[in-house]
Amino acid sequence: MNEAELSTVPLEARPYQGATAGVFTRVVANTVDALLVTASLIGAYAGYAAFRFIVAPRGFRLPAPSLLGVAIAFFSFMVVYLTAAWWIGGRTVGNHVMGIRVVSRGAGRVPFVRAFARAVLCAGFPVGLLWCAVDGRRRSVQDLVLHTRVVYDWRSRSGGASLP
Amino acid sequence: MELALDLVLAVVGGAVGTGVALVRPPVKLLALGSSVVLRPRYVPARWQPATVIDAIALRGAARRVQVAHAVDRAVARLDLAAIVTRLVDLDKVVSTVDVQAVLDQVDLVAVVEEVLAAIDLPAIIRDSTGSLTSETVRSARMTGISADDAISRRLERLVRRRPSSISTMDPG
Repeated sequence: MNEAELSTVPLEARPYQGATAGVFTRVVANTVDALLVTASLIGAYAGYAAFRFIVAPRGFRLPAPSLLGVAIAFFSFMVVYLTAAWWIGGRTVGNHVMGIRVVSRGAGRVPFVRAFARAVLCAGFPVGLLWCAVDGRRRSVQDLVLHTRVVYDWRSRSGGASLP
Repeated sequence: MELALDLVLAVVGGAVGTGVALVRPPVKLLALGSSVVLRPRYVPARWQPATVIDAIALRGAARRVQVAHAVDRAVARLDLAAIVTRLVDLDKVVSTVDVQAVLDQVDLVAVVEEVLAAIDLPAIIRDSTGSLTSETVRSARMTGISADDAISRRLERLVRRRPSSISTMDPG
């Protein structure tokens, strides 16, 4: 009685498990992550505004961060979020929704430094993702530089990229 | 009273002493006879009865080992399962087994707990009923896979690249 016999992955999706994910799935996953980070940023802004209101209610005005400040905050949030998600479980919330996972070349977990570097590259150069649409082996610029892969993996726990 | 007690003790003591005196000589004689018969002093050791008996015992032990090995070899050559299934009506035999009695001896609760621990049932339930693996998400994932394939095929046609399939995708 092994895991394969009890896999919860639907039959029609099993042949794809472990295969490299394509551009559409990855763009959707990244969009979900970007929305999530944006929501976190808005939440942080609201929290900061509420804090300022509590501290000095009489002279309260909504904080008006500069565009550069917002960009830096977004970039920082994104890098921290992506690094933690890929390092800990190999997948972000967007990856989880779309059933994909970031793995190193040997289908193992991505080490911290590589996860951080990939997060910086993804947040700083998101267009590099589109290269996986034209690459024969579906590798983005980030994958080519850091020797990572993004594979279909519908299982909730990480266990390599083998078939379910 | 004391006189009676003394009398009894005297009788018992006399009886024990007489018994020991009567039994000791035959026992000594028996031991002496045994050594005389089995190990006669003036017969060469190789011809003494004890030596001959020991040799027979050793030979018998060796033969028993040889027979056991021969039986093992013979049994190993036989297809016992085929013989049993050919000659024995297993259904009839099994029907005589009290399965309930066997089950009563099995700790089913422990077995079930072991199986549940091995298959990680909570994870399976979580996977199959969790909100992120609902029908909607499954559909979105499958749509994503189909769209990925469609985009790949279209781009392959555009650049006239060798078509890739799941089996030819980068495995590592």
